[in-house]
Amino acid sequence: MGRFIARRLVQAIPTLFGVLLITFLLSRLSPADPVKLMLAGNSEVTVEDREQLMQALGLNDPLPLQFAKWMWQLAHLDFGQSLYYHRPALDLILERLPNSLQLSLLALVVTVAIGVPLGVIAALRRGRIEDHAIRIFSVSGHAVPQFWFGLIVVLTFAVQNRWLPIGSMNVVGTDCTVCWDRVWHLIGPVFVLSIGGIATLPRILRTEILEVISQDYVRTARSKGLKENAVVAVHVLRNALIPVVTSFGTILLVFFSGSLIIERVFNWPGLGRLTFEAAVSKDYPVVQAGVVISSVLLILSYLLRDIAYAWVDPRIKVR
Amino acid sequence: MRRLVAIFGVALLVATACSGTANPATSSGGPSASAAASDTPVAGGRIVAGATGDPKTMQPVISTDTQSSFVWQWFYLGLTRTNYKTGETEPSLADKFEQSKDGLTLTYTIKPNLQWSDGTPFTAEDWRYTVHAVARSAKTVRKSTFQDIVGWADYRDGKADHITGITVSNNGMTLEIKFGKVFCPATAAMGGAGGGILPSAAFMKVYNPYNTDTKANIDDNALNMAPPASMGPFVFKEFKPGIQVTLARNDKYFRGAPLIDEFVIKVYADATAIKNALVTGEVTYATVEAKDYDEVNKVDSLKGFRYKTSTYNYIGWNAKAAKAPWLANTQVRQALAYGINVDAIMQKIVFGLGTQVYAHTPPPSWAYDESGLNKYKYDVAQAKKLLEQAGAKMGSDGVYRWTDGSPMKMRIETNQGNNARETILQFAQEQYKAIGIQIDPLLESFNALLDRTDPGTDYEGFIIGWSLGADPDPYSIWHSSQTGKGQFNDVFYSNPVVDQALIDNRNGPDCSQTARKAALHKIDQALNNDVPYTFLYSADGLFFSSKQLQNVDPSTYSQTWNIEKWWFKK
Repeated sequence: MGRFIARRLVQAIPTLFGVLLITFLLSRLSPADPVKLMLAGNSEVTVEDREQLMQALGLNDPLPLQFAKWMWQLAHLDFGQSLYYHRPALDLILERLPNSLQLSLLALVVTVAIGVPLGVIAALRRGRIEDHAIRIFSVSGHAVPQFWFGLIVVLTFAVQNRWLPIGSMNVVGTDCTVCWDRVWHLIGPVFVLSIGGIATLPRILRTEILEVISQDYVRTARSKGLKENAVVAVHVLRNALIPVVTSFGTILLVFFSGSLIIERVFNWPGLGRLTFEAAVSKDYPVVQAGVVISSVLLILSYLLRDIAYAWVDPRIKVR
Repeated sequence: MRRLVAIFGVALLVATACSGTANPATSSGGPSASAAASDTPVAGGRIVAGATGDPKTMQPVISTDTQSSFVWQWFYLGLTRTNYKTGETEPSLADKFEQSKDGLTLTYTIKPNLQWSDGTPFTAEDWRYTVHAVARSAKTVRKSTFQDIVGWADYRDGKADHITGITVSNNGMTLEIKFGKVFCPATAAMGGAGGGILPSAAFMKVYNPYNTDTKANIDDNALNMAPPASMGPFVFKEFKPGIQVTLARNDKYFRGAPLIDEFVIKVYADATAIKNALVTGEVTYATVEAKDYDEVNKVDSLKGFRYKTSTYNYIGWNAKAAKAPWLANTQVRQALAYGINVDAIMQKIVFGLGTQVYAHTPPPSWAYDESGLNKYKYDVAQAKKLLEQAGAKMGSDGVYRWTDGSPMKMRIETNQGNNARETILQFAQEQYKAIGIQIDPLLESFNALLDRTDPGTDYEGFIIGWSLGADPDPYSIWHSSQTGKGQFNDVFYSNPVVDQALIDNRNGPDCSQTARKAALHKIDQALNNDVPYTFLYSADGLFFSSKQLQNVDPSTYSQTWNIEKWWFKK
């Protein structure tokens, strides 16, 4: 197992390098430099002052030199200073990371807690009204764009009806992590973030269960007098879950990319919102650090998925 | 599937439409219910204001963004401030200020017995320290403000250990600044030390500027994100990244301790989110856009205020556009001014909540004078007549041909997502077609717009706006020398009369308001005639606050100038 993990981590290095290079180039090659954006429309700032700032922020260096400098810094685990915040980019990221993890992990739990039972119901009640209802929900959940859905949720449940807060993590004046206030603030973003996963899971699971349920070992289990619940839980579900675990990779990817928009819509102070704002204002070091951290997290979550895969299906050996 | 989505969407929209706008909760909170039902001010309560991002720094020397200044403005004040209504410079931490007859010396007398929130006395040394910190900062953009002070360059370059033109005397109560040349906006620009004045006693512990070491500076230190003392109405309490900045009442504030206990600056994704928070009562006050005016105005628990602003929108015409040589012709630009119905644009975008502008100086400024300015009333026939006088000939396709035979087609660009500018672009496209000029609209990112309109020849028309400071000094926008990369005369405007008037307004020698107003009117008249921009309109400021909040009196140059007197009435 140790060798497997080490090998996978080594394999991840070229992927990571590719991501770094593309991020670096895309952020540099899009129009306008950060200083121009920073001082947009400020007619009181002279060219000399602008030039000095460009120099101080290292933006006058040639691109290959900037990339080399960044690689050298990264090798020393230094993500550079934010151009806007005048602070280490890593500090900014680490401040926000726990908030993002809280949101994504909770969304994952909710996805599984709702998605798996829906899949089981859809399969066991095949062709009946429950199955149709779940299918309609699945298709709708897939088709609705997350940002639009998020805005509608804010408009309907927060602005018009005040059932949910406008956004953020706590009401002004309260400051707690495990409390009703935090749960109240989590409902909106977790719901919207998990809706895609909840729509995906039942479809995969239904197909798998229907395939597994006609297998000989399931008939054997039934014929030896096991109760239906036990048959489903022990024999059907465990085997049907294997492709579901595979689909977690995609779901996690949706969480990471989705949180960029959802955190903004729900004003959640996480990594996604920070990266989004940094991308808009061209705060290169923060964008780059955000992408590196997200990529590393994604690679680690894929690794966890593969380990879980082996755990769910002992026939698969980790080599 | 499309139908399903439609049904789902309709269901949600029906839910949205059916629910009424209930009275906002009062989470922004006032004092206890029993406090007062009378008009006698009572202390207590919390104000929540919205910001569209975290402060990037809480230290004015290196600050470049509005989210940062929205925070540090509560701690670091200037010797003078801008009158909230007239825009004129008035005393603040200084009792008085005077400019010598030759305009080369500026003297401030500090108010007696002023104290920072930590108990340290406030003196002119605090101002002196801040300006020295600006001179050595690598990340500031405020150096040019001080470049005319005697000894500035020597100190900046490490040839001296202090700026010789700045003298602090009389136990720190008198500040004298000597200039190498007259700079009329100096009284307004100098007072704030390029932003706000820092507490020198506290900052000396992290950075001492009185030496010749040009490598050390104030740019990176812990106090930049944790202001140690305040001269303003509030003191720094706590910063939670991405969430809020919390400030507490400054009991030593020289205009009197605020009645409000706490001031919270909460971070929202954008202006729409702040508007939503205002409607639900999460935010105590905010300015809103004209498109949201009706919705917010209907909320029972809010009261609204309206005032003129020193901003305006315009269509800029590049006189050096390679693909539209006709833009160098004044009559063509005048035709473009006659050919667009600004009144209709204003009705559509700001619903009449604004003022049409005909030149550069914005309506609320003390220098504003619209006498003798052409109003360019929408007139298609006049526009066509001017085009023909300029030498254009109508083609068979309804598009004019320029003197070189090329069809008068050109691009107008603006930034996508700005609804007002997109609407102006639609109007321009339709209405210029009626006068025989074909417009190719281009919507692009704000970054791309800034990049493309950096002075050059590859753009023709562009829609953007100016947000101007209180002291009118439009040199960098209109002087013919300001057309290099990174400069702001991106329409290549050049008029010797304007060039001279800009210098008169800036460098005197007569810096009196009368003389400057005359110079600025000369500039406005020339711009009104030459129309390097088609000047459009200045949108009104629309400010809403909780009805419980008393003594609110927002205006053009400050919405919170008397915040120490604000209180919550139950």
